[in-house]
Amino acid sequence: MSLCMNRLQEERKQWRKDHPFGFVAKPMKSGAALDLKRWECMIPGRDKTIWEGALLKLEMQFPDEYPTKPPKCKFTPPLFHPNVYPSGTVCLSILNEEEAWKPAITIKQILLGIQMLLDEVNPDSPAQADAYNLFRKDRQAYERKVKAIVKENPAP
Amino acid sequence: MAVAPPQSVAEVASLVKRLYQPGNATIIVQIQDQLQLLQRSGEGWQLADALLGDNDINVRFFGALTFTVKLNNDGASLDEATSQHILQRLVSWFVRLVNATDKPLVIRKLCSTLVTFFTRVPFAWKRPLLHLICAFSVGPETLEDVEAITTSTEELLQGLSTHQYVALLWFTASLADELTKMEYSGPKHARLHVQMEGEIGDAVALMRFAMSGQSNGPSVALHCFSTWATYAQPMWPGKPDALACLQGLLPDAMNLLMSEKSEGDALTVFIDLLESYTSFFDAQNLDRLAQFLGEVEGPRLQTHLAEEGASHHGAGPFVIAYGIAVLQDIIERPDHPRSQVTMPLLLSMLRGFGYPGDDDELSGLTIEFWNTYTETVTDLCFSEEDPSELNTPWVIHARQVSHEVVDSLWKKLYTPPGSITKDWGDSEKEGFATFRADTTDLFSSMYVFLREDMLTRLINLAVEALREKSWRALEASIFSLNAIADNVLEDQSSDRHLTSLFQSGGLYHEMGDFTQKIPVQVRKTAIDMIGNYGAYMERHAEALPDALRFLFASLATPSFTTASAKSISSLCYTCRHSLTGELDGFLAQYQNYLVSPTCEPYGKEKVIGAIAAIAQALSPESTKVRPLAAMLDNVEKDIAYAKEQMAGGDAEMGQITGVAALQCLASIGRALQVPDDVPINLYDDDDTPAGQRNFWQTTEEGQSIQQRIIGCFSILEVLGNDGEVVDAACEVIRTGFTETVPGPFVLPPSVTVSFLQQCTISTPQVEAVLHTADLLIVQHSRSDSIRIPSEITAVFNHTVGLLLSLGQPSTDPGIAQSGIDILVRLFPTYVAVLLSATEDILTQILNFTLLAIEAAEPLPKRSALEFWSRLLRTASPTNASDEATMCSRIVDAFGQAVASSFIRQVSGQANRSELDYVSAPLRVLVTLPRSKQWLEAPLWAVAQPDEVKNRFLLQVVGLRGGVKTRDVVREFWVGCRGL
Repeated sequence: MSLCMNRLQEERKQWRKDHPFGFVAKPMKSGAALDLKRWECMIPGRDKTIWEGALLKLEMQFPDEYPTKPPKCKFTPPLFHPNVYPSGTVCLSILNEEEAWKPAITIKQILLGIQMLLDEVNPDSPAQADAYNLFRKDRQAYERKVKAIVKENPAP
Repeated sequence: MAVAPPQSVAEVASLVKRLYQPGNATIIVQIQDQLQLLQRSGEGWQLADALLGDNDINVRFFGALTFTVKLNNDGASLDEATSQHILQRLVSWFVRLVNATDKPLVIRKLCSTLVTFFTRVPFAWKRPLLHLICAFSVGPETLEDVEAITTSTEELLQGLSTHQYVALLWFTASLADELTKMEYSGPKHARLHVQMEGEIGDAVALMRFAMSGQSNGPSVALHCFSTWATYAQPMWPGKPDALACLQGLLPDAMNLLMSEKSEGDALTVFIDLLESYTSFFDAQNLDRLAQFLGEVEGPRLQTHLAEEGASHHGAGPFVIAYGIAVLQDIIERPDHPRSQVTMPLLLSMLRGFGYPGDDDELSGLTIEFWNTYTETVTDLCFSEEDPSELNTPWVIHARQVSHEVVDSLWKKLYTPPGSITKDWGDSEKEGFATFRADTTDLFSSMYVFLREDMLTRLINLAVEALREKSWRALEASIFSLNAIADNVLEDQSSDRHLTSLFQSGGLYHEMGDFTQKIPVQVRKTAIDMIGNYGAYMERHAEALPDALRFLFASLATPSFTTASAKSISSLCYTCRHSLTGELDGFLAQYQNYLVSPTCEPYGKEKVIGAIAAIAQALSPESTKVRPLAAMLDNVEKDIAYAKEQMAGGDAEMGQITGVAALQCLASIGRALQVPDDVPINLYDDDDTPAGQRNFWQTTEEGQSIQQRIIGCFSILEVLGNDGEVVDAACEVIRTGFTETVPGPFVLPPSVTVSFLQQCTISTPQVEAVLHTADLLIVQHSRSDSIRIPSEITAVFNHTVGLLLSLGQPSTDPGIAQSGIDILVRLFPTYVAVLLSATEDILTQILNFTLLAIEAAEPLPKRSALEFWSRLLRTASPTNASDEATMCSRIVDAFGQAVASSFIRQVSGQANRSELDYVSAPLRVLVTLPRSKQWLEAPLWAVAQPDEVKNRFLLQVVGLRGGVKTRDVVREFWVGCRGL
């Protein structure tokens, strides 16, 4: 089995053994089998932040070179957030091969990192104009918009 | 005052003591610095030796630490004689301190120092463990050649005290630990790994001796055993002798499973080994473990499961780990003794006392096993090419087992009554929620194996619970059915089973009767079920009325409003064609909702959108007028009310009402969009009556609807200074943009244009208006859309006005970026609009984009770079149009400035993440005739060696815009940044 698949099997095992509350991460179905290179994930908003109560869907795509290269993480549908590209792809240093990605980073760490990013916006690397401009210019309106997203994507 | 360098060993000792006492942080750091200087100095060896003789435990610890530091720093360069001398001192201290029953802190540190000696010193320390054993039994100084000893290790061990052999176990464990870390260190450490093979005999003798010993001997030996197994797993697959020697200890370790004192430690070690190193166990070992399970752990576990409060002492995780280790047997040989012992225990663990997350710890843990079981069974079945093999006894057995699992978990899913949950804290709630989520996951995997049988079983459970009004059982059943919905719906033949639940007078008929007292969670899960089984309802319209009646009734319950509004929306969207007959009824229900106490903006917006989606399905267009007019009545009422509130001085409520009204309008607009899956007749131009095609703009009825929609924007007269209102109005306009056929929300372009013309740079959310204008240009640039040059010219003129009134892009980066985006969008269709500007305006606007490239704000910069990519591309000599000629003239005038700007970016000004954006226009620029000349001058000003700059220029020009330019740019940038 390839290094990529081996690692993904192991990630799956570890996730099942132990995962943070409210998160979901599982390989997608592909016919009757599972496609280990595409995972469907759910990220809850952190307590005591404006994202509390939300559950956001995200897709992780693993390249053949994983874990040498990081997976691509994409909110589906795309999320209103300064560090999420209009396509839904998350812009985060640990997901960038040229920045802070390390093969030792686990799926759990990635998801926790993205959860953290929700409330801890990185104003230095904007990925979409809508959320970024509103975040900078009118924080109240930004927060109201986030609240609407929370309502649209409630945790069970 | 700085800490003075110590002058004697006594002074060092007193510094060490101060280091370990609480005190001023700055002083502690200074002490640490002084001590580290000493540790690294030439006298470090003597100092370490002296400190080990001190009375204070911290000083002795520091002595051992100093030896380790010295060995790490200088060990590799020691000569043989010095190294032997140091070893002698270390062994001597080890014996002395162990015999003096020094504290574990010091002894363990000394063990790790000895291991450091073993790994760092280039001369082999032969048989280190035997050497230490002899040092205890014969004496530390008497030893000449350890390999000449003829007495067996076992015999030498006999005379040792517990203190002595426990210390030896610590050393042995530390040895394995340290060497495990050197697993992939290449040939440099190959010698050490060979030596490890030679150590295993002594190590096993020591562990065996300790396992049968007293006090903490067995526990320490178990830990040591597990570190050696961890070492052996990657290192000894090709060393059967060494491995067999270690495996020989398994029976001794298993005996400890039955010792009252060591059982806990033994279970931990075995769970760990079974999980991570299954192949370490041979068949005989696995059988012995099965016997142990059957005779000892199994009965104990059963007692635990039957009694409230009895502890399982780790037996549960042990059964799970063992079950996974012998999974192949459990699946394919159900009669095998291993399976016979394990399977009943695994199933029992799902039937223990209490609720998961609360007093039932085990059922949740077991899910991990059943996941593995199910996946393996499914893999085995799908890899079977001969379908008759799917009826073999083991498959039949696996199905029985799986059904039992479903039944047991179903019971465990029951939500507890309030009398139980009132005492629950966060941890119990989270535990129970996690259990339900994990079960959902398992059920969807199990369905792949059990298919229809699982579905009918769950439906029967649900139908029976419904008949008996056993609400918690019903909730658990429909919760389970939700878990498998995606899989079930893939196969339409499942629909016949679902009918018994969804048929008229079934589940939703009961749920919709709000005179019945039903626990909240049941109706909540029932609402979720509608979302999950929408595709079924789409195929079976007869199920819709009950479901929708239930949902509309649920709107009145505060905790259901949001969820039911969302479900109403998704059902009406997907089943719009089946619901056209219900339109009037729903409109009436909506009126009821508007006056109910639970009415709130989110519900209003969702439900009115849902009703509009049904109206969209009406045909011909004229039939949409009446329901649309009714919906607009509601919106207009809210708009009027918002104005009243504003006039009455209640700006806050006025704003909320106004935004909500426009959002309802946008929701109607979105719902009226033609769904993607409706086939569009490409050849219908001639078939469609002209009147219908232009119904909304040519007939009186249609026009009146459009006028009413446009009329709603009058709210901007009183709330035009509110960003959210502006944003919502833009949303309304945009709903018509994606349409390829006329519709009520497909408004004339002039609406967008005049909206923009009313904006200044102080209009809040003017970016949203610019973005809307941007989409208008995109919309009218498509090959099948009509061209609107005069409207685009108006957009352009106003945008330019906005940009120039900013002065600098940094005045408002948001407006700068949205404005430049509009300029970008003019290419290629409306490039003439840009070029028709006066030379003065054009110069100002191009300078503005150059400023944006220089500015620190990332978004206007990206847009400006894209603008230049497009402009340069249009100027390419391969284009022969008039526009190309004009663009080329612009580029001639601005080429030098643009090239300078690009060079500043690639020579370090841009951020790393911006390099691709900068490379894009640079790649186009180099395809133009004078580009090399433009690039040269600014490049020479960059503070880099000439050959680097020359190479960069040659490469960039030579690549003629190829993709590799990006790498060249990156490399140059890295050099300029000095990274």
